[in-house]
Amino acid sequence: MAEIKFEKAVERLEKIVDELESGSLDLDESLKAYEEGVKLIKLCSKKLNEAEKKIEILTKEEGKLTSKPFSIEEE
Amino acid sequence: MKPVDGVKIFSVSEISARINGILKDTFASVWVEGEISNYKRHPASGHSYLTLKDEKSQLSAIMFRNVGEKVKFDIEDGQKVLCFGSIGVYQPQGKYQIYIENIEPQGLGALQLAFEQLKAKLEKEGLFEEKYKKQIPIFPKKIGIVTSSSGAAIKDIISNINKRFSRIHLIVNPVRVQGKGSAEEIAQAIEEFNTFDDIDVLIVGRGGGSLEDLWAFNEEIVARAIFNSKIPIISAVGHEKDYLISDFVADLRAATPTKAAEVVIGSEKEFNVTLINYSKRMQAAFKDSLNNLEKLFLRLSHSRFFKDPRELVYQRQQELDEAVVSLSRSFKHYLSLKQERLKRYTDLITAKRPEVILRDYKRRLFDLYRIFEKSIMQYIDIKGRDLAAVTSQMEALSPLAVLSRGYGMSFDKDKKIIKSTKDLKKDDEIETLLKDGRIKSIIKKIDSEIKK
Repeated sequence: MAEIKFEKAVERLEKIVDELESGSLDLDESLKAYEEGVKLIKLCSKKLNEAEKKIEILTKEEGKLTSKPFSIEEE
Repeated sequence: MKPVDGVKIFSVSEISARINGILKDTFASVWVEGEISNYKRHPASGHSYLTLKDEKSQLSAIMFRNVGEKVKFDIEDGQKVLCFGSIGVYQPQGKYQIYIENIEPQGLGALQLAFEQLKAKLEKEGLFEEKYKKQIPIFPKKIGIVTSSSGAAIKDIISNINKRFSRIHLIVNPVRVQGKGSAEEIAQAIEEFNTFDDIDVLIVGRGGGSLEDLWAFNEEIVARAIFNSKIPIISAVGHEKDYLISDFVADLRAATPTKAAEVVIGSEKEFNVTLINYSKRMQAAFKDSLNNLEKLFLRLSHSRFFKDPRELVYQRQQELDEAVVSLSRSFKHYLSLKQERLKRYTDLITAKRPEVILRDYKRRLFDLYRIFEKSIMQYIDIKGRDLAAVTSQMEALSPLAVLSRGYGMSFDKDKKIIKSTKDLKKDDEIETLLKDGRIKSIIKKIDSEIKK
């Protein structure tokens, strides 16, 4: 299954919170919504945390694009 | 070669003065048409210096303060103007220049005109339309940057992104951002990034400069590359006031490269606050809905139908109590009769084996108690069975329809409604009332928190 995107997760989260706040769900649905919401918050937080710092620059070698680390010289 | 004797030898100043004289005579009053560039007004003297140019040549110009003060419009680079004045030599530099006496704008400058023309053309084609604008992701993991690898822009972008969210993957595709061929390089870099499948957003731009310096971002090839990009693009060229074709066609315009860094990603703190807010809202909402359900349960448990079973029991118990009282009253009477007779017998046979007679009576008395006790138990049992029949009939009735939403009510062995896990322990037997009957369950596990 394709990994759910951060944007989609936040969108879904917003919908779940709206539904819970509207009070229109019965117990089963509230529980399910709450569980899903908790999962989504965990997922988003995981995505934020697993991001990795990397700065690269593209170079062309024999017409092929390759990337290598890039650092900005401080003046 | 040597000068012929008697021929005048000029000093530099003398020849300059002669040339100046010739120019001033020949071009004492001329009209010159051209485009303004490098316009500068000297703050101390108030004189203005500029260059007039066309496709092939340029001409230095000076406008003294008294002339400049009379000019009605704001002189800016790129304007096409018609100047009137005289031409002379600025002798310290041996440079000829026009001394402007009057200046009039002539529509738009060539570059400005080119800009307006391309803008109108692309706008007509629909390249700027809102419906083609792609959403900039909230949390891009990989950001591509098309700019010079040595300019101020790349430093501003990288350092500002890192300030907001340090753990981000940035890839720079270095290009020349001004001069011949730069537009083609920028367009190609955008296309190259589109061959990757994991770049979430692109920043295309450069720092400030003259209109000529920024020109690549006004070229059609760049505009088309931006439009055709599958990756959302933020255009970040020059300063706040600079609007370029790339700004119109991009999915988002950032006024400066620094601003691009600010719009491309939120700060880590902002992200966390957002998630915490969702979590808080969800908890509050869920707590509310639980409270509402609890209120519903309470209302149900206080309703006549659900109160009845116990009330009926109480009622029967009361009847039973009354029966017991009346029974015991008659039994007391019976006892007192017996006692009287006993007393009589005792009196009669006082001398003869009184202990034996007494024991006999005691035993009979005990038997009577047993019979009495048994009859009470039977009475309770019969009434109890009636009660069960009545209750099950009742339970089949409509109020139970409220249970059809999926709720159940659970009772402990004392027939008390269970409201909290705290009322239970492992291996307790509970009875649960569902819409279509009741079930008995044994508690296997108690989780006191509602969690994932």
